[in-house]
Amino acid sequence: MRRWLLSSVLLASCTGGTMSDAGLGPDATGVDAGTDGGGVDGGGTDGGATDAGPYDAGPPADFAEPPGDDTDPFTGGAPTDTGLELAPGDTRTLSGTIASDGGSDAWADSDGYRFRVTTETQVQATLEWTGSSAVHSIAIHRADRHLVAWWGMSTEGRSITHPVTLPVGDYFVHVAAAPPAPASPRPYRVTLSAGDFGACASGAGGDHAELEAPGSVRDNDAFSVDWYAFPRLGATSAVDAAEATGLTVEAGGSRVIEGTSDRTAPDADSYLDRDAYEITAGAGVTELRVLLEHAVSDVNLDVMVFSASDGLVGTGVEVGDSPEVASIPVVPGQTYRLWIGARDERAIGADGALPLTYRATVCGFVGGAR
Amino acid sequence: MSRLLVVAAGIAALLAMPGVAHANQVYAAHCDGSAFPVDTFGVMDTVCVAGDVDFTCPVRLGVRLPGADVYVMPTGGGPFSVPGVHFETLGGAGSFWDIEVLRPPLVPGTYDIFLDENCDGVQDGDDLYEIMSFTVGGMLECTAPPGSPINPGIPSGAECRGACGGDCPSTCTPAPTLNVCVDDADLCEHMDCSYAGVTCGTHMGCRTHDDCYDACAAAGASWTCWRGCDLDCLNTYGLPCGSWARGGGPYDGTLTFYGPPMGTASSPGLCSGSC
Repeated sequence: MRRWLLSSVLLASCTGGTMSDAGLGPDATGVDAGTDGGGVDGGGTDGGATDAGPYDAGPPADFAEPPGDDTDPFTGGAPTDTGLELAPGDTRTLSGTIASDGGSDAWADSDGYRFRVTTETQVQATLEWTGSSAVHSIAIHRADRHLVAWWGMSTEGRSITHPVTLPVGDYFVHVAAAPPAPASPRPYRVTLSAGDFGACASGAGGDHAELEAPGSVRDNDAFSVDWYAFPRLGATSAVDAAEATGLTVEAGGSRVIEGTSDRTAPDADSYLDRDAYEITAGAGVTELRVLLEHAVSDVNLDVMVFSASDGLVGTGVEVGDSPEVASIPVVPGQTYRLWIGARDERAIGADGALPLTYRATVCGFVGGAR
Repeated sequence: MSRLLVVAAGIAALLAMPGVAHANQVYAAHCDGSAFPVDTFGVMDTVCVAGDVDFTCPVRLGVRLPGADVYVMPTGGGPFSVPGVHFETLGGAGSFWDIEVLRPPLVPGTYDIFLDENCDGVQDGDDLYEIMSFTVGGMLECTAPPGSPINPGIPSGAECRGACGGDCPSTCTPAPTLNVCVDDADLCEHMDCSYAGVTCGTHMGCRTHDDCYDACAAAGASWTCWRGCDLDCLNTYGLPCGSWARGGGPYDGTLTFYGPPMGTASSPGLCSGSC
C-alpha cells in the first residue's frame, strides 16, 4: 500500500501567525474604531455603546500565535504552548490568524493553544474575527484531544463555547474556520475567561408549544444544515418559516419551548425533522443559553441559532445524550431563530425513538463571569 | 432435432469394447477410442461421449436397435435445448464410445449430458441426466483481485474499507484497469482477466473508524457501539471527522480497491503464446 503523508505537507504551512493584531486598526465593520478597555469587546458592547462589529484588535494579546509553527493539533502539528494559566477570575487573550497559505478539505486553518487550569473553575472561550462570513469555530479540548467544550460555531464575527467546569490540568483551545483559506491572513482574537458563569436551569412549564401539525414536518424548518467538517447552511427548499412565539428572554430569566422531532426523511441535508422558533433577546441580554432536553439518548438533537439576517450565531452540536447545551452571543433587543434538528443517524439505527418530544429552556445572561 | 447416425461405434464394439462402460451410463471422453471419463476439456478439444444404453430406438419398418439420442448443453439449459446426436450401437451389450458431440472451439463453462433412452423426445425415468458432467476451460479461473477488494464480504456489507467516506464515496476516482493473463499449462490455454478499480483517499482516522464500525456490525451491536466509533473519532481528530464522513480529506494516503475479475473466454496457447 502506498501512503502519502499529505496532511503534514498541507498543514505545515497553514498556521503561520503574526503579532500584527495590535496594528490592524479598525475592524471591517467600521464601527469599532477604538480599543476596549479590556482589550476585547465584552459581549458586544464597546465603551458602553452597542458594538455592531464584535471584533476589536485591541491591545496586544497575552499570547500571539508564533509564525511558522504548525499548531494544528489534529492532523500533523501540535498545539502551541502559551504558558498561560487560568484560575477563577482570570481572563487571558490570544491572537492569531486564519492563514492564507494552506488549508485542507476540512478547514481553512486549524490552530491550537495550550493553557493550564491551576484551580478548578468554569471556563468560557470566545473567538472574535472580522472580514469573513465563513463558519468559524472554537472549542476546548483536554491535552489528549478529548472534547470538553464542544464547538461554538458562527458566521457573525463572534463565537463562544458553552461554559464548562475544568479540573486542574492541561487543555488547549482550538480555533478553525471553514475552507477555503482566505486570500490574505485573517486575524482573530481568543479570550479565555474563568469564573462562575452561572447555569441555565431546566425551566418549568411551556411558554410555547410547537405549532407544526403532525404530518406537516416541513412547516417550520427554515434552515438547511448539511455537515462536512463545518455545517453548510442555507434556506430550506420548502416555503416555511420559523414559528412566531412572541417570546422575549430577559436577563436572568428563561423561556421554555416544547416541541416534537418527527420521524421523516432528510430534505437534502444532514437532519430529519427541523424546527425553528423566533425568540428575542431582552434588554441587556448579550448571551442566550439553550438547554435542550429529551427523554431518550439514541436520537441526536442539535441546536443552532440564526440571526435575523440568516447568519449562524451559535451552535450546540454535541454528539450524544440529552441535554444538548449551547451558548449564543446575541445583541440585546434583536430577534433570533432557535433551530432544533435531529441528526440523520438512521444508518446506525439511532432514530428508533422518533417522534420524540423535547423541551428547550432558553436563558438570558448579560455575559461574562460573575 | 437433427439426428446424426453414427455407425462406426457399433463395428468397433464387436471387436474391442473398452471396459469402463457399464449399463445405462453416459459421460464425456476424448475421441481417442479409450472411452476414459474426462471432466475437463480445453477450448480446442473435441468432446465425445461414451457409456451404455439399456433400450432401443426405432430404425425403420418396426425394427429397433440399441441406441439413444444424446444432448450436450451448457448447464441449466435443459435436455432438449440444443440439437441432439442420434447413435446406434449395432449390437454388443449397448456400449458406445467416441460419439462426437462438440467440436472446437468450445465455449468455456460447465456442461450437462442428457441421454434420451428410447429416442422418444421425452424426459422420463428411462433417461440419464448428468448435471455438470464436464467443464470446458475449467482449470482457468481469474484470481482474486490484487490488493484490497471493493467488497471484502464482511457482515456489514460495507465496501472500500479504510477509505474516507461511506463505502466507496464519490470522491474516489477510477483506477487504471489491471489486466492479468492466467495460464493453464495442462490444457495449453490462457485466460485474460481484467480488474476495474477505484482509488480513494484514506487517513488513520478513517481506517480506525471503519474498523470500529465493522466490529460493531460483526458483533450485531446496537447504535451505542456505532456512536461510540463516531465519538472516538471526534475526540481524537475533531472536525475533520465530518469531512471524512463525506469522503473528503485531509488524507494521509490513498488506497486502491478492485472489483471482481472480468474474464474473457479461454484461448488456445499460453500467455506467452507457446506451449
